[in-house]
Amino acid sequence: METDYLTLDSIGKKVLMTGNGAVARGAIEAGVKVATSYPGTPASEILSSIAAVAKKAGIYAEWSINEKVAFEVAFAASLSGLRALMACKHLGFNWISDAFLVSAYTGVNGGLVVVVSDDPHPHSSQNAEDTRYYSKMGKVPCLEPSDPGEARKIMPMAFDLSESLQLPVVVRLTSRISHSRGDVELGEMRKEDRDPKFEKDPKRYAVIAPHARERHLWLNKQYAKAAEAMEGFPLNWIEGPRGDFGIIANGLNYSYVKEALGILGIEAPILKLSSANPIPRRLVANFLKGLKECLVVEEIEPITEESVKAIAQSEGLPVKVYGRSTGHIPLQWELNPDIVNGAISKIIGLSNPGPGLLAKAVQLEVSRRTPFLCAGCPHRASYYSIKQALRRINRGGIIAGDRGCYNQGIYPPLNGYDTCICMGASIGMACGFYKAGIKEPIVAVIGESTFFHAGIPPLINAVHNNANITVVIFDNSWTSMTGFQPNPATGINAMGEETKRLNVEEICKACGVEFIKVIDSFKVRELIDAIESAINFPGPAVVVSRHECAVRETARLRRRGERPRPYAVDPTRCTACKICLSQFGCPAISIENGKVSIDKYSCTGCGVCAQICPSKAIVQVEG
Amino acid sequence: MRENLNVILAGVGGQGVILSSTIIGEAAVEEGLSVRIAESRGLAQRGGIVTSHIRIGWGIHSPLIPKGMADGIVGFEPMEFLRHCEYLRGDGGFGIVNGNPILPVTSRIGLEKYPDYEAMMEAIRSSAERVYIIDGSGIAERLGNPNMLSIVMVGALYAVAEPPISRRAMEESIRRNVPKGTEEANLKAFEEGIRAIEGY
Repeated sequence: METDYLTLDSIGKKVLMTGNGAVARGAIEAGVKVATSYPGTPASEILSSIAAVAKKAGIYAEWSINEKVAFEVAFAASLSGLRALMACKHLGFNWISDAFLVSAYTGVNGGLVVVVSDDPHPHSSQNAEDTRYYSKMGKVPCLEPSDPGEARKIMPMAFDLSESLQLPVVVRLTSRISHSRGDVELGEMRKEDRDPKFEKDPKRYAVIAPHARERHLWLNKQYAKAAEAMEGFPLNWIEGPRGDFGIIANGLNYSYVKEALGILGIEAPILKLSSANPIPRRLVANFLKGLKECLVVEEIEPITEESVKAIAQSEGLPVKVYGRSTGHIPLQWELNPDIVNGAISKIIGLSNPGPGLLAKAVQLEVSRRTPFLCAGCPHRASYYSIKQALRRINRGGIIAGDRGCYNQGIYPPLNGYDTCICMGASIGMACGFYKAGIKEPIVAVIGESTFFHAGIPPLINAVHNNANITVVIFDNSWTSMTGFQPNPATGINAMGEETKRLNVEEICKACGVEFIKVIDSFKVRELIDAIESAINFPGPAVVVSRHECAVRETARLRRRGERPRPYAVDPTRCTACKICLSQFGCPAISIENGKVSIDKYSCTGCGVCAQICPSKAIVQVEG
Repeated sequence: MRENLNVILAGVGGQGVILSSTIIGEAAVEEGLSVRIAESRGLAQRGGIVTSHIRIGWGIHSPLIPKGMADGIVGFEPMEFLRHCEYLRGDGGFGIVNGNPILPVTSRIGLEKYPDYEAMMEAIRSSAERVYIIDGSGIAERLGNPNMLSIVMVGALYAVAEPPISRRAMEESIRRNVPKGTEEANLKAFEEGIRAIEGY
């Protein structure tokens, strides 16, 4: 199992690892001492891997309250001379940007590596931004491995580079690297026994404007050194025969290019680039010499493509450069071998003879399979209750959503919320809808982990500016969406140690909210009443809908050898009104030939369907 | 035995697609083979689609199998098998399908129609040169644990694809990756998966 390989001291042994696991392994090999993150797909498993072996490996691992704090913790560890890692998804990088862009001015001491995983498609994110722009903006080196094996190998290089340049280094993955597996050759476990020491130097670490002007000068010098270092970066290389048509491939795309050329049965010169920023200008210029056409294959935005065009122009090279900005590769969605095959075929004038065309078409339409809230999920009861409360008040209603498991509530029959933008936006936007003059009830929906992450400042904003909004906090005490990480409401930390458990209601009270109710999510009538009163309260109001995540609760029952007591439909009472399906929609309930039934294996015994059944036809039975 | 193998495992969250691909991938690495696996497990925990592209052998680069180049597809669920058919090679491909549907929630609550069972089986039978529709869920249940479906399907795949992996390496990988205490039961499930093909 992957966890066993993270600390295995066996140089040269090949093991199967995910990209995220390989990054964790590489960081441990490099002697990382402090690792931090906030969970976010596709990057979550980097820190959870390190955390799983942290104590054994003498590492401090932390799920921080948000990415910005995570970065600051790792940054200070680096200033104290230790090697530190911070991991996040692309949207998390937006949070760290404030501290990250200034950290390039102070520079670092111990190697500081930020691993970010972009989601080009996106498979599980609100956008598909390209974080390489941040490394350009910050003048910070950015490396891109091409497979899990290289992800392992690139980590010690990133730490070394960070220390030699005194700059943070970004390692950019994409979902396909994070969540693909490959044979990974284990490297040496380095011994990095350093005592933490922070040597005061206010002109460097206290970046007030006069100091910033000096440090800007320093950063520009370091960035020039970084560019020089990238010329000889060992994971960049040129391969293949000479020819008129060449291909530049960033990171994982190298594998797509090799695959496509193999399918087409042709060879072409390839420049494999595993350094995304700064671009090695001499290496690129040498590659372009003699080419008539060049295709740049990179994930998300045409960043390398634009640099390559600039290099060709300044070197006076008559090469035509193609890529995402010229329409040879689509400007959206993630790449795959088929798209790369299509682009190469188009340029060299082949009518895409890929075997894809030989595949048989299936003459049967398959239906969608949307993800859903689990059976017994407390969020379903919360959404149902909000909708019922709004129905009672009968003045419409806007529900501003947030980011988390409860996003599955968008699908029918709940149609649970109207907006979902970013962490914490529910409360901020609710304030905005109110101040814009919307007369309907305005409800913000946010999970407890998201509340800790980004919900507190907008709640204070609502109080300070007196926004008449209702905030329903879905408190299931776990960061479930990304793999059940602990948060301050859980009472344990990343390394499994007990910590102080924080109550969201106490925080809301301290923020100055004057209407706060805490209700068990499964007591539906009380919950509807509380939400109705909160909406009618003149001023910001909070309802905490609290019940532990169904997956965690059932797992704990099972560990104790117990089983949930399921519910069943009494067919003599059921009138097939379908309210349990059309308004609640628990996946344990189904209808076949007009008869409603409950699957006793997936029912967790929450009993909410029994509470909402108008005919009292749902009853608890023995498991 | 083949030089290399490209297979897609397709199923629904909770069916053990990722566990299956880990078992096959680890066994292949133990045998000194090169391995690439691309997993799509977005929201698997919540009933979403889970797929795993598995590539074993030499001369492979991309973790994703190009369309039309999969030697076979293992459908842990029949509709998910059909959803991925465009990846099957036009000649000599195989399909292994657990014939037990899992209805999407939208179908269960009557919002969307799940394909007609017979029409689906017909489409599956004509999708590849060799097609094996087995009662994987039934076999796992008879062995005492429906969760062992994934290991039954691994056994079936092993029997059909004849990958360049020894049976011993497969069994060791199963032992390493299944929950402690269930090793023997899962090895039995592997054997039953092989038998389901041999007796087909």
